[in-house]
Amino acid sequence: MKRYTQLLAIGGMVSSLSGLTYAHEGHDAMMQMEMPAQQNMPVAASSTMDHSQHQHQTTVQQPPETEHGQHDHTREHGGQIYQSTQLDSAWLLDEDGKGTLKSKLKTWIGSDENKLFINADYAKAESEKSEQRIAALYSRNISDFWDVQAGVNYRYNAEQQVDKEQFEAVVGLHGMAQYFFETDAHLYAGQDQQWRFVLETERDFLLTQKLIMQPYLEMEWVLRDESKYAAKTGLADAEVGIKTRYEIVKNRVMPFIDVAYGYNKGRKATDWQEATDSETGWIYGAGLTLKF
Amino acid sequence: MSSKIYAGVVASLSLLFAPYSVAAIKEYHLNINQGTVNVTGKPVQRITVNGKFIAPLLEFEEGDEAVIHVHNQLKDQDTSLHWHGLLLPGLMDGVPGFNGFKGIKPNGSFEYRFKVRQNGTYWYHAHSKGQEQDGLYGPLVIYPKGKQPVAAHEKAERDYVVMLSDFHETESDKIMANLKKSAEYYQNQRETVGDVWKQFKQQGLKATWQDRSMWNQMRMLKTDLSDVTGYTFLVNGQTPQQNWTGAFKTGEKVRLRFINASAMSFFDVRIPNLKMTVVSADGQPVKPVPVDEFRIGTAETYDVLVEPKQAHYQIEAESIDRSGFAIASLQNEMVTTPTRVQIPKARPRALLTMEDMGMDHGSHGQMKMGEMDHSQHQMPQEQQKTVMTSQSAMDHIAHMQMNMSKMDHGQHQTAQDKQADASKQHAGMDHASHENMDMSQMDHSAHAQMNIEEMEHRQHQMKDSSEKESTHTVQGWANAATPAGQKALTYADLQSLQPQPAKYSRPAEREVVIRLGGTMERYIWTIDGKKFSDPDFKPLTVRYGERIRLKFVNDSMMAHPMHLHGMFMQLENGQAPQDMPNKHTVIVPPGKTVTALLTADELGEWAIHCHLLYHMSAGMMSKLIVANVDDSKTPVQAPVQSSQGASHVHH
Repeated sequence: MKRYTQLLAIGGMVSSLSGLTYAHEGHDAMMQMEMPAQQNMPVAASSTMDHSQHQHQTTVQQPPETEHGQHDHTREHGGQIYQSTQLDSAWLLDEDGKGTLKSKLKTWIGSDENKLFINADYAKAESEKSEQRIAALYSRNISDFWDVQAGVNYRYNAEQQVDKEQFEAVVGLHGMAQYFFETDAHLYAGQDQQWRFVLETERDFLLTQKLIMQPYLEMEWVLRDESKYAAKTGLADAEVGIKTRYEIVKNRVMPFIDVAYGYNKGRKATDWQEATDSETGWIYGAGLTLKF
Repeated sequence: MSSKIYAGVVASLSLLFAPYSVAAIKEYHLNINQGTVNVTGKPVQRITVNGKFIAPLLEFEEGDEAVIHVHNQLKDQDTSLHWHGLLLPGLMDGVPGFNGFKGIKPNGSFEYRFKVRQNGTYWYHAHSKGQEQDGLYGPLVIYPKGKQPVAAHEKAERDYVVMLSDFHETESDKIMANLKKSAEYYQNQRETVGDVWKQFKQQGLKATWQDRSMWNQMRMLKTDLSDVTGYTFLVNGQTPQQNWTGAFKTGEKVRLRFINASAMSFFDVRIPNLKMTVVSADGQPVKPVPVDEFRIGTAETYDVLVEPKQAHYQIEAESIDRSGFAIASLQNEMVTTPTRVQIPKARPRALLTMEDMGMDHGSHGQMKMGEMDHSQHQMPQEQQKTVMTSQSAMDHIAHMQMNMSKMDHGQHQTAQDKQADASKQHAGMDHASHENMDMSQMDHSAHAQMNIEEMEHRQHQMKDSSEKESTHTVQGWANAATPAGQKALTYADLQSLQPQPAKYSRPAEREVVIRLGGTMERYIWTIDGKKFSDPDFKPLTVRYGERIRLKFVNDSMMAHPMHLHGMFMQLENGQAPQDMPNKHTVIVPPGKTVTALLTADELGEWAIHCHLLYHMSAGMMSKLIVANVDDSKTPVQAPVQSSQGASHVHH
């Protein structure tokens, strides 16, 4: 957890620094003109100004203090740094009654334009070893509702004998589509020709102001996979479900129940694993969302 | 010899400044500090001035020399005070980063000193971060010289400030951070699945879908009337329970100086059973307008005169999202039994319409308007409902907006009149906005034709509301749900008391379009598509003495009270040029265009921004530079001193 905070802090500093330099460029240029104008105030009535005096004043107001005294508008008028963190934890059961603990952390820090996203997932099924991943993404706002993102995804799968740790490059889009669909679309590229495309979208429907139904859709296409634990190509994973949350404390503490129908295409036969068939089935469970 | 010259210079100077030396110096000390404040029952740390929560009333007389010593005793933050609506040298305007003003550092002081050149009701507040919300605001009243009323009708026995504000248990920084986390953080009146179902049952699938899809595509909520909720509304710093009370004697005339000093709230103000006469807007005298209620935008002020007859009256200022009231009392001091405060029943909350979305300016709205059949509009609502096809459903909606938004009609007509004479000057305008204007003109003509029946329709609909479900929810931002037969103030009613001098009534030399934009979902608010912090932000530059038309085009779905520092604008409200009222803050309703004229006769750089605090914090601010340049395009940008000097040589 400490790691995260460090990472976040660094990300924050980087983006705020870039913001600061911008602001100075913008405002210094403007400043120089206004001082003389300002000083001429008392004689403002005449539109023909005494220019020799004007010029004189321009030189007078040059000392660097003026520039230092510049107000930093980034910090107050649009360039501020904000952050948001959401942690979901749920206990989910499949049709055979096998349970899985799933946690999901989503956090960002940054300005309207530049953000650092950290997305992490942790899954631990009963009688299996845990699987986890964490992605660090730079997020750049490109339009009102959309960010492009690029970064690195780190995966760790304890079940696998080799290649437990893997890194992937990620590019994608994050934003809100029309009709209020919060949408993430990311392309992952990893070793052994692993190419995956993941699409996630969700939308809120208010039953009341506090009881909110959220249908969601998650799909993963494996475009290519030559790895030792390869998945079958095509639509490899899909889940469609409805998460219903009750906002005990709005935007802070929100328990939920989750009912979904999932599909998995199965694994390819390789030297390291046998082929598996596709599976479908219901998943249901309950959890808690915390936001801070 | 030289001493004689000096003597002469001194003599002539003292003659020149004779009126100044006679003027009284009015001095104040304001200590800005932090203190524990308990408004809602929960003690919180807030900003205090001279130890009090809510800064004290500052009083001046026109012609005074104001000297205000501001001491920053906050430990860790800069502060500043801005004198809202005052004409003064730029440095004294108190906006950090403008005119060389650097803010007031912790343990630092600043001496504001300026000649008071006007009279009226104003206020002052911090212009640093969210300090205004956290308590750094107070009233400022300037009496005419010798306290003589500016006109006979303004003579009143009592004179009270009624300052409306919004208090939140959460600090301003936190509120802003919450809005950035989630746009819906403070939205607790959103429409639910049930509301959609109701609409479906009533209007059918097609109409419901058409209506909803538009909003969904834009990613906007109909219920977004105010960004922040959870406020406790105050009058002169007092909660409704504390009930600030103004005393009067039988037969007395009372002047109430309403100031909307809230950070984010608009109010509908009324005093049941008591007619108010508006005599001043934004501190500037206007011809008397008798009203039953008025809507006051953030940062606006209105002075009203009342002649109370009953023993007790309740002043009710209801926030436009209907989340609460600021309440105060007028009490006849001869009557000994004061009446307890009664929290009135909230009026229905308005839903935003497509008109608020600015849809009537788009091709869609235009088409419908064009096809409008007037006879159909005179049809009773029920009939219209039965013939509702998808087409007529759309008309129906448009129709409702028209009935309901009386206030806007005034402005529409204005716009139309103005456009007639303005169109000649518009040759140089950018094509997009020109086109837009033509369309709106078409719409306006339709509106204008509707105007005659408008009153009738409104009332009609009010009565209908019980039987017709869609009118349970009031439609349109501008609809205050004013009861039938009651008069609400509109901008169109305002006329300058004294005819504007030639300087402030001549036609504009050019037009400056100011586009107001933003998205609630990302909580980004912009002027001309830029935040103030953007690296490519450009200030607006005006030549000293130039007369310009400021055309505020609201492309967003929220009303923006646009405030200009340092100068008054003449609001183009359909009145003749010499009657246009002075305003320092102009409400630009959602999806609407409002224009005002400005004579740039104050040198310096002036903030022009949305006075909703968190919109300004999000970047909705710009800078208007009034400078002596012969070419308004380039010299201001000149980055180095030498080139600037050179540009002056060319004069």
